[in-house]
Amino acid sequence: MTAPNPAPPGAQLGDWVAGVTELVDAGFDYLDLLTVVDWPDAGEFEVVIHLVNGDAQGVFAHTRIDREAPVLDSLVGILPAANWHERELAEMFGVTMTGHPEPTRLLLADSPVAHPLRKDVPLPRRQDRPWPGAKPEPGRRSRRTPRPHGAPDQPDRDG
Amino acid sequence: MQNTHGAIALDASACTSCMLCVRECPDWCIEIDSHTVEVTEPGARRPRSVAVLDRFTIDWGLCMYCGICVEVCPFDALRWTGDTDYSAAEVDDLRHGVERLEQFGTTSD
Repeated sequence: MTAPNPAPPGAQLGDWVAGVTELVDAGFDYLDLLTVVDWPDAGEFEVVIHLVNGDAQGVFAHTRIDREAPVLDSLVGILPAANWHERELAEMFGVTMTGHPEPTRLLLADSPVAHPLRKDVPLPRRQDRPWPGAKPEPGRRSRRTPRPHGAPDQPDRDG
Repeated sequence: MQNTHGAIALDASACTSCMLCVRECPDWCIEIDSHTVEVTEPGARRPRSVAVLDRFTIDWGLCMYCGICVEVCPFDALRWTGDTDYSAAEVDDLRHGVERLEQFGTTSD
């Protein structure tokens, strides 16, 4: 089953750094948001940026990268504020940031763990704690066992 | 203040232990224990099963205040209040049961 991927707002950039540079040069030089959306069915990561100009007008832009070998050119050269955002995306999604001046962990402990914001990585917290919704509501014999939203059918601790 | 909200309060008398909030909560921060009792009403041919709420907890350490539980409750047993002063020194003290949850929104400072 393939989930439909809704088109995000803003332009799809072919050349990430060149496209963002164009927007920065056009006055959208305040980095508001830099994040990644995981599309496992499409085998892609979608990198999304939101930039704001001096009149508080915002513009979105995005680009798609391969999910198996995710590589993205760093924006730190043109947007220094992207530094921590890119380090976060590197550890949370496993995206290699080419040309990043400081490609080290930002938030996670320095131990080998899966990239926790990938959709196929179950939360360890959810593995050792039973789902509170599994209890049947009183007086009803459930025809089927309810399952939590978004839970993989075969939980795998290591993702 | 407008456009702000604080804790979510519980009206235990309205809760039917239907588990909808527990199952919809993305953070798994609500837990419910309940049992049923048979109630025979005068004139009724058969006794009726009535749910009794034994335990209702919200773990504020997990809650992200999305409000899905408030939206999904069919009986308006959950509602937003303006209360924000319920910090705790221990994580376990952020797990509030029926008594604490019913107090939210009852005092106005």
